[in-house]
Amino acid sequence: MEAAKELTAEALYQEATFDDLDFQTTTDLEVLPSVIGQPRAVEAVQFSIGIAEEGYNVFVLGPTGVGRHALVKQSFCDKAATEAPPADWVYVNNFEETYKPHALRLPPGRGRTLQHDMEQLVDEIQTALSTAFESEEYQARRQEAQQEFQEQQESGFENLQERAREKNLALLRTPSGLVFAPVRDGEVLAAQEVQALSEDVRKTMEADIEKLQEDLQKILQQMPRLQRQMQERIRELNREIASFAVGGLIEDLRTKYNELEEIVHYLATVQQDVIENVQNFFAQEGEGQAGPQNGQSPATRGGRNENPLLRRYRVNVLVDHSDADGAPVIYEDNPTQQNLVGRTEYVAQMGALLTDFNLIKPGALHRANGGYLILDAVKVLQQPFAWESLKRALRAQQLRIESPGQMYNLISTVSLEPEPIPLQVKVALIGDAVLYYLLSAHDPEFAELFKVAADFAEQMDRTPASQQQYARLIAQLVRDHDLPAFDRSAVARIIEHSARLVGDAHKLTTQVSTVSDLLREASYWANNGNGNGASEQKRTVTAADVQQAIDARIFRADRLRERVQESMVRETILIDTEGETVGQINGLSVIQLGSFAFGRPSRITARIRMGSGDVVDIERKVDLSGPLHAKGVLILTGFLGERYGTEQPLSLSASLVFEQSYGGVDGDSASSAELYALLSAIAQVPIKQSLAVTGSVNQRGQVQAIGGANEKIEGFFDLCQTRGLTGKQGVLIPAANVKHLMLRQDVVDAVAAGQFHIYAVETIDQGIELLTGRPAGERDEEGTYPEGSINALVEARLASLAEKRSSFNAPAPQDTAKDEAA
Amino acid sequence: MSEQEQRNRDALERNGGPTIRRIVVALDATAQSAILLEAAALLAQHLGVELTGIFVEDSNLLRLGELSFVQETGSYAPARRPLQAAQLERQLRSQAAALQRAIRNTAERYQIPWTFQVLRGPIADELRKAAAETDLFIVGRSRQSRQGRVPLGTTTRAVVITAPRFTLVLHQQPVWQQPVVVVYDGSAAAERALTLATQLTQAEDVPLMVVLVGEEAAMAQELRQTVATWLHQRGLRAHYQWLSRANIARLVNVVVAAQSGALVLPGKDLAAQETALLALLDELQCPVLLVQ
Repeated sequence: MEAAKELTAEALYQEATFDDLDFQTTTDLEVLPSVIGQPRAVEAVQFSIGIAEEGYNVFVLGPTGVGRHALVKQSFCDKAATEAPPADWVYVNNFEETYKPHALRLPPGRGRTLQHDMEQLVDEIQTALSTAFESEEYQARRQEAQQEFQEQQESGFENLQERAREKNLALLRTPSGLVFAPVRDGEVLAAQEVQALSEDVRKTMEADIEKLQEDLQKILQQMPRLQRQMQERIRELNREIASFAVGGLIEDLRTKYNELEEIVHYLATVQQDVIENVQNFFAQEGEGQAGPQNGQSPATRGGRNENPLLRRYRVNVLVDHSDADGAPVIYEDNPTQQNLVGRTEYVAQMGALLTDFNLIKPGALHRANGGYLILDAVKVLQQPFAWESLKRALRAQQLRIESPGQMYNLISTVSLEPEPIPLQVKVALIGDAVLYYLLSAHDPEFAELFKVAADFAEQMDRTPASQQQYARLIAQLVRDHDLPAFDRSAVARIIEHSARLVGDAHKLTTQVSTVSDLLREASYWANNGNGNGASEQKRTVTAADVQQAIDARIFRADRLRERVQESMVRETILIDTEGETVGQINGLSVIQLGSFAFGRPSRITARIRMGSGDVVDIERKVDLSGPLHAKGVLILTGFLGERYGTEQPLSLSASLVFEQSYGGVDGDSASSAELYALLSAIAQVPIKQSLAVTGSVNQRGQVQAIGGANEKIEGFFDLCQTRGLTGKQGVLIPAANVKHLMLRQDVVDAVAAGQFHIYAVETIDQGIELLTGRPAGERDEEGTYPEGSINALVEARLASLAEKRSSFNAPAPQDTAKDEAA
Repeated sequence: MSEQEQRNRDALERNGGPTIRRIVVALDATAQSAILLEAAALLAQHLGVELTGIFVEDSNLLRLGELSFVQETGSYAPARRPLQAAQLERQLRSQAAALQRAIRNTAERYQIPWTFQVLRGPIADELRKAAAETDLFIVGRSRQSRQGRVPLGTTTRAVVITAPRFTLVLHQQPVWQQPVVVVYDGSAAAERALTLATQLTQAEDVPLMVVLVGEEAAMAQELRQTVATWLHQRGLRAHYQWLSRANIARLVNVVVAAQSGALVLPGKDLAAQETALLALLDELQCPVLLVQ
C-alpha cells in the first residue's frame, strides 16, 4: 500500500500567468464583451434570435451576476441594429362604436406626424368653421330661415289678432297661457258690462271667441312642426357650410396619406363626423359670437384643448418610432400586467370614472412590438395576471388591452375594448434554473412559448487561453466602470481569487458582477481608502490593493468566524491540536453565511460496546443531522461489515457524535473522520489530535472528494496558528480535492516552511496510518493482518466481542438437557 | 357710504345737475326681469341709492277671471281650460313673491337698500305713474324676451313717450366696459344728459363720447369748446363726433360704430318726437337712457 502524499506548497495555490499576453496594465489590453465562458448560452440566444418561428422565445437560466442581462441585451441590440424600425401604432376614435377604438398602423415616424396633422386639422377646421359660420352669407341664410319661421308664427298671430280686433276682442297673455277677451278702449270689459250686452251680441261674441280659440289652437299646434322644419333647414345649412369649409382641408390630408388606405378611410369618417357634429366646434361658454347652433364660437377664445368635445379627433400615438434607428429592444423592470400589455386610464368626472381612446396607454409589449423584449421571470410571476397576460399575447400573437377588472367583471364602469394590435416580438425571460425547471414541469404552455433555453454556467475552465480572455474581460469592466487601470499583478490576483471563488484551481467564476465588485473595491482601497483623499489622478491598482479588498471583505463578514475561533482558543469549544486520544478526531465542516464561508473544526468521538453490529449516529437520533450525514454513517457499517465481518458477526454497537454541535450537521464529508474515530475506538489506538480530517468514504474504504476543502484547511490552520504552529499539525484531505486547492498565502507559506502539513489521502488505510503512526496492515495470503497493525487490532477486538456475545447468547446447560429429553 | 358713492354725490352737487336718489325697475315674470334687476342693482350700488322693484298686476287679467265664457289656451300644450279668478290671483301672487325674492337676493348680493311694491291696474298707466315718481326708471324693451333683435313692446312705448325725467330702456346687461355716448345740443336737457353721462363714466370708469348736434361746423365747434371746458374743469376728457342734424339713421350709425355700451339721449319733449324716438329705440339694441 502506498503511503499518503504530503502536498508541497506548489500544489496548494495555482498562480495566474500570462505568458502570451504582453501588458503592464489593463489599459494595454484589448477589451472583450462583458460575458465570457458561456458558449452554450451564447449559441442558444443567437439561435432564438435567428429563428423566426412562433414560440422560439428564450428562457435565460442561470445564477445572478453571470451576465445574463448583458448577454441578452447585447445580442438583441446587435441584431436589432440591423433591422428596420417597426411600424408606429396609433389609436383613433371609432365614430360608430366609441367604446371600440380603432388601431391604425403607420410607417415608422408617421404616427406622430398624423397626430400633429390632426391637431392642425382641428385648429384649421375651427377657424374655417368660425369664418364660414360668421360669414354674412351664412348669417343671412340662417336669419332667413329663422325669419321665415318667425313670420309664419307672427303672421298667424297677427292675423288672429286682427280678426279679434275687428270683433272688439283682444288676445291677452295670462301667466299660464293665452286668452281672447272682449275689450273696449284697450281695457277688458267687466262682467257687468258684458251682462249689459244684449243676448244676441253676447252669443255672437262667445261664438267669435270660440272660433278664434280654435284657430289659436291650430296655430299653436303647428308651432312645433314649424320649429322642427326650421331647425332641419338650419341643420342642412350647417351641413352644407361645414362640408364646404372642411372638405378642402381634409382632402389635403387625404392626399398626403394617399398610400395608407386605413388612414384615408379614417379621414373620411372624420369628415363625416365633423359635418354631422359641427356644433362640437362651437360648444364653449361665451357670448357675442355667431355660431350655427348656439351663437358661440371657440375660435377666438382658446384652442382645441379647452373643448373636450374635440378630443374625439385626436390621435393617440401608442408607439412612436420616429427616432428609432432599428428594431426596439425593451427591458421592462416592473412587469405588472398593465405595464406589459398596456392599460386604459380613467378620469373622475362628477363622481364617475370616464375614459376614451386618448387614455389608452401602451405596455412594454407595444413598445417592443417588431423587436425584442427582456423580462425578469420572477418579477413577471410575482405580478398578478402578468404571466397569464404575457402568455395570452404570445399565443394569440396580438395585443389586447384588458384590465383584470374587466376580465373578472370586478368593475362596472364605462370601459373600452380597443382593437387588438398584431404582435411580433422575441421575448427573453431571465430567471434561475429552478424557476425554469418548475415552469417546465408545471406549466404546459411554457414549453410551447419558450422553446429555447440559454443555460448559463457558473464557472469556466481555467486555461492559459481563458486566463488571457479573463484579463481582457477585467479590462472591459475597468473601462465600463470608469476605474483606474489595474496592473498585471492585480489582474493575476483577481483571476486567482476567481478560481478560489469557485473552489477549484482549474476553474474560474463566471459571476461577472462579483468580479466587478472586487474591481471597484480594490480601486477604492487604492485611491480612496487608507486615508487617501479622492484625487483627480487615479493610482494604478496593484495586487496588494486587490488583496486588501479581499481581506477587507472577509473582515467585514467574519465576525462569527472570529467568535468561533475565540471559543476554541478559550476552550469553550473543546478542540485539541496536540496530543493523542483514543476514539477522538478533529473533523472539519464549513459554515456558509451569505457569500462568506469558513471552516470550523469539530471534535468527533466514537464509543463502542458489545452489540449487534449497528453504528448509532447520535446526531441522527435527535434529528440534528440530515439524510446525507445519516447515509455516511450507514456506509461505515457497510465498510466494517465488508472488511471485518465476513467471517464473524459484528458484535459491537458503536455511537458517533459531533461534540458540542448544537445546530445540526449534514453532508458526508465527515464520514472518513468518523470511521477513523471508530477504528481508533475499536483498536484502542490513539489518534493524533494535531491533525484534522475531511473527506467522505465509501464502503470499500476509498476516500472521496468533498466541498469547501480550502475553507476547511484554513479553518484548522487558523486555530493552530492562534495556538502556535508546532510543525506537526496538518490536515488530511481527499486526494481528489487537491485540484481544488487555492489556499491563502499564509497557509501556503506555513506549508513551505514545514510548519503545517497537508496530506492527500486516497484510502482509509493511508489516513489511519497518518493519524495513528501505526501501519494499517494488509491481509496476507492466509487472510490475516500483520500483528500490531491497526486492522489486526480491530479484527482481534471484534473477534473478542463476537466471542463474548456468542457466549452470552449460548443456552444454559439445564435448558439443553430439557430439550434433549423432549 | 362708500368712497365711490360719496364721489358720485359730490360730482352731482358740484355739477349742479339732477340728483338720483332712487331707482325704480319694472319687473314682470319674463326672463328679462333678471337682466333688468342685475343692471339696476349695479347702478344703484355705484350711485349709492335705493332700489325699488315694482310689479303690476294687470287689471285686465283680473277682469278676465270674472268672465265665465273666457277660456285659456296653453302656449306649449294647446289645450283649452276654463279661466278662474282665484287661479289668476294665485298665479299673480306667486309671480310677485318670486320677484320679491329675486330683488331681495340681488340687493343682498350688491349690499344696497331695496323695496318692492305690487301695484294693480292697467300696466302702462301704473308704470307711467311709477316713472313719474322716481329719479331713474328702468324698463325692459319688451315683455317677451327672445334671441336676436328685440322690438319695443307696446307698454314700453307708452312709458318712454311720457317718461318725465330719466328712463333707461334695455333688454340685455349693459356692457359698461364700452364707451358711453351722450348727445349734446346745448339744451338744458343736454346739460342734464351730459352730467348724467359723466356720472356713469366716472362710476364705471369707461370712456365718454360726446355727439355734438349743430347744423354748422362753427356751432359744433362752439359746443365742443363748451363741453371741453366743462369737462376740463372736472378733470374729464371725451371723444367728439359731429352730427349736422339729429338724424336717427346717422345717430344709430355713430352709436353702432362706437360699439357703445349705452346711449344717453336728451329730448325737450320726447312725446313730440314720438315717431323718431321709437324708431331710434327700435334700431338700437344697446341700453338707452332718455333724459327730459
